[in-house]
Amino acid sequence: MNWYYSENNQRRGPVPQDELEQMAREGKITPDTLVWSEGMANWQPYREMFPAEVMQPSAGVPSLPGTDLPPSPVAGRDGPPWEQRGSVELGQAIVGTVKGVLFEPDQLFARMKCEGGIVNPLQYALLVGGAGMFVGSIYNIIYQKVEGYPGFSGNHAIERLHLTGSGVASELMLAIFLVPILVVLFTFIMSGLLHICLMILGGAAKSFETTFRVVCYSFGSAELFQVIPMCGWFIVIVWYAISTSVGIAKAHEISTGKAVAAVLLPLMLCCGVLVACVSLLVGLLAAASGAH
Amino acid sequence: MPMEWRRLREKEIDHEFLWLAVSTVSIALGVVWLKAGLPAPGCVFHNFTGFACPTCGGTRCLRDFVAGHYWAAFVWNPLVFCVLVWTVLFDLYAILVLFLRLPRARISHVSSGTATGLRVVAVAMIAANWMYLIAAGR
Repeated sequence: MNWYYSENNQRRGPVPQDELEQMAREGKITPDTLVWSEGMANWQPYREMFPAEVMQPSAGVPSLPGTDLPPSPVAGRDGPPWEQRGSVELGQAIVGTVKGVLFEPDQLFARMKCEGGIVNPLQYALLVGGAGMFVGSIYNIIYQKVEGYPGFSGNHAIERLHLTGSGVASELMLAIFLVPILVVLFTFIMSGLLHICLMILGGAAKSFETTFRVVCYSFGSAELFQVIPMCGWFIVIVWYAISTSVGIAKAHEISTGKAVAAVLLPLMLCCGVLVACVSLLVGLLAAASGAH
Repeated sequence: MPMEWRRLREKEIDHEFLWLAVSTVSIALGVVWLKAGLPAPGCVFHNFTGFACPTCGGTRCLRDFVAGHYWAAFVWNPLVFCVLVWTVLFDLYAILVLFLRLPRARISHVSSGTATGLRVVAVAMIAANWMYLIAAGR
């Protein structure tokens, strides 16, 4: 069986399988190197195709005397600050990751590990995104006290769920209970939809785990904009779409256009049109104010 | 598509457990929401354009599906109905393999021709469903 592999974004090969494995043992091919062979729909990381090979220690390379060092991370992908909590303080890890995702997403996602478990990114989404979502629900509770508020009334929910009696306290308790559940559901469902869209567009170069990790970091960071009253939710949607698009392009190593299409498709299928409408409105208002 | 039945690899995501949990909690929350008589989320696309979006009728489909009115559920939104049926079938399979500790079903390789065919089918299904919803005046 002959294989092609990627090197500096160039296709190389074909090479026989034993030669490919030899190159992996010599370190010329890393576990993240994309490989392809006749019959495969997409390029896949080497470790996906040869998991047993990747797990084996390099033949002939002695271990460093007197040390028990873990294997070095894949070159260039050492993970965001959140995944370096062993060497960085928790606060710095959170601030570094938030700043990276929101303001330098291309750099942060270029160094994000494509695999390494779903627990770390989910913890980030729960802690940081959950905090943002909780603040958003507090605002919502306050808005609903304002007479004539046109949005969905949580008071009705409380009344119909027979939680009346303690007013705001019941609503806060409901929010505390629901926010973690909603964060977990959102991250998994959005990742699933996004990965299906990537598959439809032929852009799912890496596994579901990679998509999930991008969604968790993007959602967790963008959700912090909920602290801005009234329009925070809108900024969340826009920033989430932007950082996720950049993240998907960098993590799956696909074109930005394909990543943007995959991110917008699930949003457009339901309520993402709102984003386009509000953007249009903002654009028109800006144009109108500029004309005077 | 070639399928294989195999044990989970080390550190591999347990998709059966994951999606069983996600779908069960989602459906349970949806049912609680509907049973409590809370208002269904509105459709911005429908309000703005007057036309159905590809998921319009989804909530009513879920409501009839849960009530056991399967034909009515299908008529509201065929694609959402198919997704619900698929979810139930997947959940049954997941419960089976998790409790009996059976090997998991995985797609081993998909040829480029098959992948393209699947993409075309997926897009055609979404488009056909959307046209049906608009024609039916959802």
